[in-house]
Amino acid sequence: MMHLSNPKLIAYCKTSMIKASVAYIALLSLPPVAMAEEDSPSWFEEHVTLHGFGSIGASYHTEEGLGYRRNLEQKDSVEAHKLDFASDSILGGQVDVRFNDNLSSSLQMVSRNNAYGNWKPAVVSAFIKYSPTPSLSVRVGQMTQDSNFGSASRYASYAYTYIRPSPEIYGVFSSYDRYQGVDFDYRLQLASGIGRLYLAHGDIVGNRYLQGASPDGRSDRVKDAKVTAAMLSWQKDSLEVRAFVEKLDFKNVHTFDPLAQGLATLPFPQAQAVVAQIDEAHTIDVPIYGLAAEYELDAWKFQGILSKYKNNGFPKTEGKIIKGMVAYRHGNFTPYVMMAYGKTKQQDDALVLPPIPALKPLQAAYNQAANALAVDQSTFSVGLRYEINDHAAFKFQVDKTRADKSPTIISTDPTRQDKDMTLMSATIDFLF
Amino acid sequence: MRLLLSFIHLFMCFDYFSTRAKSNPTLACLCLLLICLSGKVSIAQEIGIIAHPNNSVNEISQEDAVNIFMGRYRQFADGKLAKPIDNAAIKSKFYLSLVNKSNAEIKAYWARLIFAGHTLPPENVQDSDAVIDRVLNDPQAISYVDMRKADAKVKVLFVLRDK
Repeated sequence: MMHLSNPKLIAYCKTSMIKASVAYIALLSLPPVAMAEEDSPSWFEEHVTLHGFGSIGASYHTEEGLGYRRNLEQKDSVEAHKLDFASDSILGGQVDVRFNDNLSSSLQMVSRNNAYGNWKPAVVSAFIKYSPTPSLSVRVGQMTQDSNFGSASRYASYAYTYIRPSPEIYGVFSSYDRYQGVDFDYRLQLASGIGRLYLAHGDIVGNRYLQGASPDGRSDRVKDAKVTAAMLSWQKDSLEVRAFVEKLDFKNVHTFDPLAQGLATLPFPQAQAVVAQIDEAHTIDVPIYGLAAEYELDAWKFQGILSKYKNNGFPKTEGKIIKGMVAYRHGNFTPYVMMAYGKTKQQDDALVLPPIPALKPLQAAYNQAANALAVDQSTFSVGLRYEINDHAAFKFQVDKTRADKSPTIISTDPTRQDKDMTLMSATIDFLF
Repeated sequence: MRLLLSFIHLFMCFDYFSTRAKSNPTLACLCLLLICLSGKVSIAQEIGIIAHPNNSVNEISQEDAVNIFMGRYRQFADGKLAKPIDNAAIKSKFYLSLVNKSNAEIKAYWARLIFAGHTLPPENVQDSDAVIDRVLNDPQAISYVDMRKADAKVKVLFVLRDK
């Protein structure tokens, strides 16, 4: 039980009071509310909208030595034989202010189990949007880039048929798709549908917990990294197709310097080659390309995503991701099946040191670094969504995962080679 | 099938009355009861998409209506901003006719757009009288009403039949 004199509690209260005061002053600075006549809405009612979303989730599996995570943004995982309520539970709120037809702003905050193992509310987006014409808008501030289906609003699970975005797609990249910068959205009527061009650029603001980054894992904030993205989409009736390209640029990467220092002392050419590779990888770029489509035909819904990427740092890897989903709506029930597959392939030969006991720690350190973000994982999911009412949905999902390598699945058993598991999850997703 | 049975019963009643010298209220009631029991004779509800009379656009397609009300492309043919307004009284019927989506599906659709920060759903207004009032006060507003309540003062751009 936290005592009232606890310094952390006092600091939190002070911070909360400061934030509350700033919010109150901001509200005071809004244009004065007109004297309320009986049917006349106030300025606040006309220009400010509040939305909220949340999920209460429970997950369970029986694989000893493994912990399931949605993505790298979470530190805590679903452990074996324990009903976990943290992984899929989220609460979020958003305030939108429309100043006039051209200018608006938005602030979204979310509380969820995060990369530091706590539930501290975090700003997901905070931006000003200017629309000089009905078909063009520019946003400046903090946003989540929108190249792929579901990425920009992935915390609002009610919006989606499934319980959570596939870790094969969003497990790693969710730490890198929020940015502070600018984006640009232009739409036009094209070939009897609507064409859309989306461009985004900014400094990445993401957090992650990497099990392989150190013996006890490490929570850190992504620094010195930028994202540049472009997406073209075309939408007609119930069909939408997208083509996207992204580039992540990382500078001042010194994560693997300790490994390089250790390997530099070895007289093996292969070890020296790895040292040279790490020295070059202080600046890394990761290009990503993809196609995605969604289509609804009567009660059927189909979604497909195909993406490829390269990591030009250490180790050099190429990766590919495939995802497909089919759902069928029948009254308030929507059963669905989903398949996701992700695999990376190291471009260079893996370092294999002589099996001398003194070299074992270095070999283990190399293996851990080389596999920190390696993926060889596929999941087949079957689920059911039930509309409780217009604001809430119940979902049940079973995920059968086969994984030889997975940066999101935590392994605490060094003797275990695979990360295969069957996860059962249930959520109530809601809007308010 | 229900419509066919209703038709048959209606025809039988008409035939009966036309061959009798005087109407029989009891039989008339029984006939009507048969019609009701055999199934409802559905009368299609027409929903009119309306705009300000001074709007330079005289008609829109269903596709244009989908683009405007689903937040994809909020622009009239003349390039001006289209401001969609939902009529809470017939909102469910409207979206079922327009895009064949239930209330829950529309909510999920908008949740995706709202929380991605792209666009907000149409303003929600209580009923047809309030909708007409809003449309008449804003040349860029576009909304919908039951055609039986459509006011001659507004311009009807498109008529949807409910499903």
